[in-house]
Amino acid sequence: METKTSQSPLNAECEQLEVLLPAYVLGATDADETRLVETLLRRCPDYAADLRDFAALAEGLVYSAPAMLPPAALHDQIMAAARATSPQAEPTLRALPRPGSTPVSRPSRITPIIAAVSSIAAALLLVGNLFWISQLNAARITEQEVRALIAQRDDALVTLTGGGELQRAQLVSTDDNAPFANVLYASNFRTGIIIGENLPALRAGQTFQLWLIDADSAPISMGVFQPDDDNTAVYVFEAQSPVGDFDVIGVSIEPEGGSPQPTMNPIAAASL
Amino acid sequence: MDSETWMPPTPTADDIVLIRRIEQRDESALSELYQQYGGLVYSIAYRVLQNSGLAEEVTQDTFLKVWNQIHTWDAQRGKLTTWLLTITRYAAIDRLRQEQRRHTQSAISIDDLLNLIGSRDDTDWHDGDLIRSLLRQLPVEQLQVIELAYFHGLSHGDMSKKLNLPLGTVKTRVRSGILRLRTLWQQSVEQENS
Repeated sequence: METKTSQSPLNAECEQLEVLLPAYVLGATDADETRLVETLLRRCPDYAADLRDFAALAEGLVYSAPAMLPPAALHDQIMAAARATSPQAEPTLRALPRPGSTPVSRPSRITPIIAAVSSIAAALLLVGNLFWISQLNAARITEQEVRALIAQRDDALVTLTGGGELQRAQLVSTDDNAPFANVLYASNFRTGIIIGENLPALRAGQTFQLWLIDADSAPISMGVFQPDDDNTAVYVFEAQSPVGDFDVIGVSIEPEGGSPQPTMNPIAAASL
Repeated sequence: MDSETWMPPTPTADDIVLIRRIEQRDESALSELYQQYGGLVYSIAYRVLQNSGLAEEVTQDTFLKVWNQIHTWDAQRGKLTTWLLTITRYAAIDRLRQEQRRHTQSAISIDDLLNLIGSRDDTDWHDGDLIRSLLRQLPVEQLQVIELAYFHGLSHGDMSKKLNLPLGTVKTRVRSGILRLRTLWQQSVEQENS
């Protein structure tokens, strides 16, 4: 290991990594320590093997749970609940994600960002929004793809664009004001869409969670979303009340599946 | 080191077929997934929550998450079981935090901890036996912080407050515990191979 052979600044950093790595794989590092470990992992490649060992060990820990038998009825409960959430069990409009639920399902062979941008752009062609026409061009999608997507997403598009004036806000990093994502919404509608590019990488088991915030109540979860391999994400959300009723939209990093309330300060936010 | 000794078999063709069927909303595939992993998911949820009703809810949430978010599973990034059990552990920890906001809860006692590791050890999961036997060889103060970090989702700082210990002491215990566990693991692998 580097740290055992000399005392260069790099080795001092790697020594820090060596100390924090066991706690990191357990999830015991605080937010600052986690960021430090993730930075140092890139600078100290010799520790990749240690990371693999510790990660395997941490995965093994989950199997320490003594075997318990779930109630016999649980299988049927889960199947009934799954049936109730099947798309065919609900009107199409209800297939829109609700707070805490999943993003809109993705058509195969077309990346999600293109799919969602296509859908929005196609719909906005109907209302003559030039800004989004340019986004459509930027996405370089084919007319055929747009048509296919429109067919699948008409209901969502009607919900998003059926009335009101579309507005756009930019979420910026709360650390350095760097652009994080754009949000498109109509003040008098409950649905909006987040479009992010160059999103920061998440650790395994982490997710982005979207929140609507007003001054008088606790943040309300608008669900979780994950960046794609190219660090982009498109996520449609639906609130219980019009988006314009809220003051701020924010994103935090939460454990996979999301949290009832943010467990950290937002990493990005925008005023609405 | 052969990290595979910890884990169930790597994803089989059957696993991948199962996932594809779930993607196609085949309810019988979800049922099969539950038959295969339901007990393990419930056991992990119970391990975190120590409450059968809450463990039941987390188990249901976990399988519904798989049903509704199956497109987020990437075979290249990890095993199906790793993904499923990660969802379970985080969902259970989230639920535990919710419950802790409602009720003041004391730090986990050493006796409870030893019971968690040592009781109801009637599993036939080979890998579960191995990790439990290794955990039992750790000093209890190291076992305690590993438990709090991994199954309760507490950070160094959280544990320092909860246990009323200096931060440095907590960090040392976490690090020493994991390093000791790794050594024990290496020794057991060597013994198995000799």
